[in-house]
Amino acid sequence: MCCTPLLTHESEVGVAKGRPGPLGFYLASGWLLVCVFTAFFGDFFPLPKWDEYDYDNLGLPLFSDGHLLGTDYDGSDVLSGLVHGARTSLGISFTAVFIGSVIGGLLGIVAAYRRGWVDSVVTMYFNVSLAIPTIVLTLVMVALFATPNVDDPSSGWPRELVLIISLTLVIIPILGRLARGSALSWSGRDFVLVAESIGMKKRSILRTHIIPNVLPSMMSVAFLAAGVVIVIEGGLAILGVGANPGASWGSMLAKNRGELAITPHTTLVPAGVIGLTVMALNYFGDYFRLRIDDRESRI
Amino acid sequence: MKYRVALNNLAKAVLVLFLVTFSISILVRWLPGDPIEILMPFATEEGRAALRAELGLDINVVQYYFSWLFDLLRGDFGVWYASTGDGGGVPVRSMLAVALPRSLLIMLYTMVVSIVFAVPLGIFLAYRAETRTDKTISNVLFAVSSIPSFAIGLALAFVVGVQLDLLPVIGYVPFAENPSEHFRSLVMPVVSLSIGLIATFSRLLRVDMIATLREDFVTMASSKGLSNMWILWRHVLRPSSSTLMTSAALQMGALIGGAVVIETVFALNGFGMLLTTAIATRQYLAIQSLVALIAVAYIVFNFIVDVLYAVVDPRVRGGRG
Amino acid sequence: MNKLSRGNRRKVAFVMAMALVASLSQVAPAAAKGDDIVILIGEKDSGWCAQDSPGLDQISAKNAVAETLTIMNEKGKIVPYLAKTVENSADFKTWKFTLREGIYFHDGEELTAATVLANVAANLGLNPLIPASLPAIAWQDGFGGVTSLAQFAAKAQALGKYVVQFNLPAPRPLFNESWYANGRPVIWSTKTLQTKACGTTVGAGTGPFKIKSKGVDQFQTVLEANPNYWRKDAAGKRLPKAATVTYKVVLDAAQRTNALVKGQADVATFGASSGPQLNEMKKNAKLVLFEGRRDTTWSFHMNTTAAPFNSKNARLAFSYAIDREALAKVVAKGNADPAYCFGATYHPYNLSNGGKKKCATFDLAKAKQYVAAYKTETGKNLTVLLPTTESTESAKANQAVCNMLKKAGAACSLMPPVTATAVILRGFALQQQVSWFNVVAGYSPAFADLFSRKTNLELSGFRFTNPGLAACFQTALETNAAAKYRECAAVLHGEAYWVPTYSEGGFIVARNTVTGLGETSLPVGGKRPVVGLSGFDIASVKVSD
Repeated sequence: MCCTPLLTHESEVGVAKGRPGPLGFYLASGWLLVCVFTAFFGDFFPLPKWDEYDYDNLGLPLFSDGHLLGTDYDGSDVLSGLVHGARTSLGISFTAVFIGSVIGGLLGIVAAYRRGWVDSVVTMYFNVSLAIPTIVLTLVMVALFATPNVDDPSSGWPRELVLIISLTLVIIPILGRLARGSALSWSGRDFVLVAESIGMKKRSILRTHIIPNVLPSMMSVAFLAAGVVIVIEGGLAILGVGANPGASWGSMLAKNRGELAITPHTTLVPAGVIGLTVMALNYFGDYFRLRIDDRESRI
Repeated sequence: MKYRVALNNLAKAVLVLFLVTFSISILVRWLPGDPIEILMPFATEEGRAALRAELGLDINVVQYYFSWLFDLLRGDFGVWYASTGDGGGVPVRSMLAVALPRSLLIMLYTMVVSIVFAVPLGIFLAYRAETRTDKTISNVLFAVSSIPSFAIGLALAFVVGVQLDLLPVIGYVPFAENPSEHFRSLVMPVVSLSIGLIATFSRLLRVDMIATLREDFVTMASSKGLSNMWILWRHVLRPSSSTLMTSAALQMGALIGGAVVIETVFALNGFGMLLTTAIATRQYLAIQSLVALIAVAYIVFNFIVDVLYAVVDPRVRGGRG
Repeated sequence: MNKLSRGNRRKVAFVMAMALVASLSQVAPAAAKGDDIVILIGEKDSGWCAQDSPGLDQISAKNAVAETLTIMNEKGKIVPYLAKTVENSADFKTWKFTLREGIYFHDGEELTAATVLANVAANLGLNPLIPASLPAIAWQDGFGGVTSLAQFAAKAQALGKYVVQFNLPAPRPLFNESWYANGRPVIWSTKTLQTKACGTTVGAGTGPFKIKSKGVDQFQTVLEANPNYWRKDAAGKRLPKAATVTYKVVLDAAQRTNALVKGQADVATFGASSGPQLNEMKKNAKLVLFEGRRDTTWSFHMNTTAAPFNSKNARLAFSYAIDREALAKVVAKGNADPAYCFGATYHPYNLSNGGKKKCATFDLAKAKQYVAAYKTETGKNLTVLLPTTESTESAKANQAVCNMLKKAGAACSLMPPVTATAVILRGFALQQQVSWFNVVAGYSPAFADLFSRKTNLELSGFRFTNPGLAACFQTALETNAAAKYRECAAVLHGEAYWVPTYSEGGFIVARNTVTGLGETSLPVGGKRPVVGLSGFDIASVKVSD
């Protein structure tokens, strides 16, 4: 037992860290490309509209005539729902993560570089936001903005917009904290100190040294966050405050979960699609993370 | 020196708590719909004014907040508004006594189960790094961690609960009432929540352990003739577990929210559902108390993480700035 | 670290795991022994006292604890229940209720005329502890407006220990029916009416079960048998048969189905909108389905005091857009009938001439036309908000209606879910655009009249916009003339103030181990319907082992 190496396959840094192979990369990017393409061009697919209710074909199983993935209990085509849902789910997720990353990243980097009271205020904001549960925030936001006034029924913002806003608010502190931590560690590096000592302006240091180095780690987490947001939206749909029923993958799941015992595919197929998308996004997140680790270990 | 740092952290934590509860109390006031309107839409103006006074809603927000705060510090979580006014509604404390234990237990069991399964799995994967076993299991874990927990819950409820008829699909049984039913009613919710965590945790642990395994002190231990298992569990696990711990604490925070959906799916009627009902019926007092509880829990977890971080990894202890 | 070798540690772990699995997989004890019944309902508890407005499921739970003076028998006739006899003057203005003697509340008080008067006072909003609410408005109308106990004393007196007399200002031919109203106006003990927690956590009634635990857990109410219950079964034996009843709230109809199938509960209630689940349960040999007569018509009541349904175009668009047959097919999957007119064919509001005529029809072209007309009229798009309760059945039915409205070119969405009580109250307070009500229910117009009389209890608000109609219903109510009712109902259809959708009977599904459903005979003779609008008679129910 003595002396057998614990790491049975000591090999290059990348493999030992569990870097996924190229096959996975192609699959993940392929799937994401398909999803994004569908989100943009789904309208042109030769499918029945997602909210067209075929009252003569209720609850069809998979691979039925005219409905490749079947229909759910009110006659809407599952495949069309998935195609339309790609736009809603990915739209909400990517928008919220993108805007949240930009705002959070800016706040975090500025806080890290400025220090002082700016840092304290921003950190306090991050901590407070993180302490407010997502569910509470979203319920309150939906009630505040998306519930129209009964006297003026067309008032009230579209549900998707309100979801984007509340999810952005959720993402900001997460990515902000990360950006701040990363910026802090980069600020302490030698080359930054050197740049400061030669009189480089703070703004240019930020632009040329800090941001480009913080960005990759943010990107990796952003991908992961996008996956998490898609899942959160599904959870909110089950609670009744997600996107309108059937309009996103999560709300398809929520709408059909009552029929799980009768037409299981109407729930399991959207769940599978969500899982695949999240997996692909996680994959990219991991991929970036490993590339960063490589870079960082080389510097 | 340590004292001052600890006090500083404590002060910051209190400030966060204050800001969270205060902003929530303002935010819910903006919600459309007045609780008095909800309870008594047909009352006369005097009736409504009387109820408003009894429930304490005629004072301004700030006063209301502080009176709530002082009550809370004395252990009074407030009353669920009822149309008969003060004394007619159920104390939030009694409702919490029903709803909170089940949510806490679910979270506790989930954490325990996740860690119990993730640690050996992570060690095993690190030990067998890059073999086919490792690759297969890692990929499976990766896939599984991508499935939303409520989807797993729904599928489990259908397969295990309905088709195989092994476990109850709804309801919660307190431990005191029937211990074996208690656990049976929680198996599926806990499994749904744990699967993702097990996958995440074991992957995290695996990565960290592989990194640690490459360090000098490991080679030294190995050359001293200690068995592999001994080394793995005794020497390598501790320093590699910092990411795991941080992640566990962060997940605890996420669990508080994520458990609401599982509670809905399995009709467990816990803390999460109490909170959503409070928001829907504009129970300002109950909302403030419940959110305060969550915020406290969140801060406590973070605090525990910070402490554990220092305890577990001796390399960190000295070098923290 | 313990000294077990790796191999032995593995063995121990394996054994422990097996033991755990074995203990968990033991067959669950049956959800109820013979004496405990578990009933699943789809509505949360929002209070049972005089000022509360529970929905049907909670009313059925309430009726296990507190009872009404009159009740409906299986032939649809209103007969005395807690009252022994009910007499009225020829002009229907004076009503005399003689109570049964020897009925006691759960807290020991005896049912007397004084108790009934205390309950009426509370219903009217005269009890300082109990705020006036929705029920008060209906009661006030019947009594012609009562603002003080002195006025009340003039209109309601105790003529003896067990005799109560009411002197109403206007004729009320159906006054005895309003004392049943599907189980709403129950009689509480005087002490209950003097505590603020009335109906929240406490409530002493005359019913077969008394409250053991209520209110602390919004999802569960536990009742235990009343050892001094006044009713006996046909053989003269004591009732109730069960020892405890637990009402569990499960808002998701599919979950109710699963739990029932697995034996986690004994009885569960369903609406017709759980069509797929009902059809699945019909196939299950272990379950028995009871369906009530399909004479409960669900109708949309438009709020005519506010946009958009203050416009006739919008109302007509709504009415023509509803494909009633599709609703019955898609949502109820055959467990409901499309309703083109209000109420069953024998109902005074029903204009279908024995089912031959259709009062409201589906016409997509006309619906689109009226949507366009609305746009021309107001310049806005027709946007409809449907109120939803937390029950999944409500969401499902509303979603189907929304789909139909969208086909006609209107925008439609669901309001965030709230409790059934909130939907009811908001509807009456004219705070919603529409309310989906089963008002026109059962055999008589009694309850329906709550919505048509000249009070501010106007679900449609047509008192403000169509005073003639309000007067029409007032006359109809006072004369109880079928022709007059039909005249008023014609206006309801013509103006599309109310839009019928489908008729159902309500469903109760019980495991085949449950006995006694629908067996309790009524003291005046006859039986209660097995499935009434608000539940079934719990007193004779028991689970056989």
